[in-house]
Amino acid sequence: MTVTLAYLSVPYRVSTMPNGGTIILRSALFLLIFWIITAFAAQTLHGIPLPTPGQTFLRGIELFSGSLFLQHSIYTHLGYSLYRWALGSLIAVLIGSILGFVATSHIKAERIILPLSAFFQPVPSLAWIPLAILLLGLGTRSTIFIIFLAGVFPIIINVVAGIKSVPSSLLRAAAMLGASPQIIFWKVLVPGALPHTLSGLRTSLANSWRALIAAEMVGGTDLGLGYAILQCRWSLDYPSAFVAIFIIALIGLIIERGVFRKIELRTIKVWGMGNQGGDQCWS
Amino acid sequence: MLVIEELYHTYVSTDSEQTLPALANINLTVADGEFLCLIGPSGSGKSTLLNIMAGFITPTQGTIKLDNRRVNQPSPERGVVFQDHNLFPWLTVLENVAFGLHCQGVPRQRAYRIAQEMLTLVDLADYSFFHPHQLSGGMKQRVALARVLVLDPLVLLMDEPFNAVDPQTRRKLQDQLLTLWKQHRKTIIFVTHNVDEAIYLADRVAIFGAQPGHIKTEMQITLPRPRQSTTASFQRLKTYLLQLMEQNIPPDLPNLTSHH
Repeated sequence: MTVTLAYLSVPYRVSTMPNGGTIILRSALFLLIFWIITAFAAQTLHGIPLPTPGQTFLRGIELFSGSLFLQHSIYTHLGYSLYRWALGSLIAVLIGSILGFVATSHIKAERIILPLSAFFQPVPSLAWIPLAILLLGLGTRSTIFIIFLAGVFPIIINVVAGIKSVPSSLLRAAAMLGASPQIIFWKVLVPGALPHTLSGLRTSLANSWRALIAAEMVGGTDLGLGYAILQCRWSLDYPSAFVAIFIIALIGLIIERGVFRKIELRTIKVWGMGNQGGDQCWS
Repeated sequence: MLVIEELYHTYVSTDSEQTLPALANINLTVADGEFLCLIGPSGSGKSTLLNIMAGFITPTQGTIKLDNRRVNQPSPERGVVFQDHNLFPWLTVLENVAFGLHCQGVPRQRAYRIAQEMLTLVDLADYSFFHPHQLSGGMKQRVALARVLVLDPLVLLMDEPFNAVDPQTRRKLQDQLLTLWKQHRKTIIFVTHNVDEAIYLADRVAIFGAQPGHIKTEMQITLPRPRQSTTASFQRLKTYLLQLMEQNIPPDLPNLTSHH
């Protein structure tokens, strides 16, 4: 008796979930230690001047207080990158949503649009660069085209999945209540497809942000974070490259926490629709 | 008046290889203000018939006329309460009830006022700003009822609406439905496989048989209202209807007039 009860009476530790702030602090501390060790090792073992956290931080302050970086301020580089990203993504979202909607309304269109989207989605956006340059030449138009291609397929695939996820019984209910096709579209299909659409938007924006940085490295522009990072190897300004990498990661974090999380809390969570495949795409 | 004449329906599989006869030779007339229950085993085509009356399905053959107009598509004049509430999760309770009014072009403020009055009628006035997922099964079905009643339909089509709620709530919902029915005198066509529920609610029951679905027989329920399921006459009628559903030959009609 006592033996069987004994194992039950063993005090077990209730694991307490650390809060968000603690988690961030811990990972930041880990990153810092890892970084310092790597920088020190690279310097002493190979003689490589890897920027230390201190150098990066100081350079960051310089850049953010407006000092020039390849003839432009960091704000100009960031601004141009954000502008290209926004424009390319906007086109991807518009065209992707329209194609997705067309695919769900006509079975023949679906049989063309969906297989092609699934086929082209895994192609890394950089693979399109020769085509982009051939069609649109070097410069911003090519970059936007690359961003568009990186973002459009996840939108199409998820808009189709979203519209198909709306139960036909809800469409029947709407028809019974006298809803016109317009009302069915705006008040039933659009909100019903939102969980999938949001996760498509997440993937799309994350893909196109990555593609943008890469496209700026090879796309023949003279502005933008991607361009700036690659140029650092000529000027040996590695601390600036690190600052730019931090900015890129931060933009991703801000979009995820500041935009997607907020939209979800105000819509899907309030509606009790759960989180359908809202994976973290910012990695 | 709702008239169904020589209606047949056959389901065809998407590859048109297989056919499944679901309804055969349905003839049914429902008077204005009548409470009709369709009962029968699952697979006897009750829900198919209700979906045809709603205009969701086009029958293979035969016609349905409501006040001499042919039924061929869904319309707010035939309000449907589904087995699964089918409320819009993204709308609040008030917005769900106002949805149909919005479709008719009723101005927003007025639609909300009417919807709020209807919610008071189904005892949900305090839940206007809740979302459906926050309500219990019985409350959701009351909202579903409110959103069709607010459109003042000619006919209410109810497809096993109280299946998902517990027995106590079920009786309350039935009583509430009867009260609303007495006030508004809507025609109600109510599908159920629960004989007890049919006897408690209906003026008349149509008993369905399967393979393919057909109406075996119809029967007036003449028990005085309000009915008590514990009375002997209620129980005898229940036994009789259960026998009717199981057998092909109608058993002898019990004596319903004696009281104990």
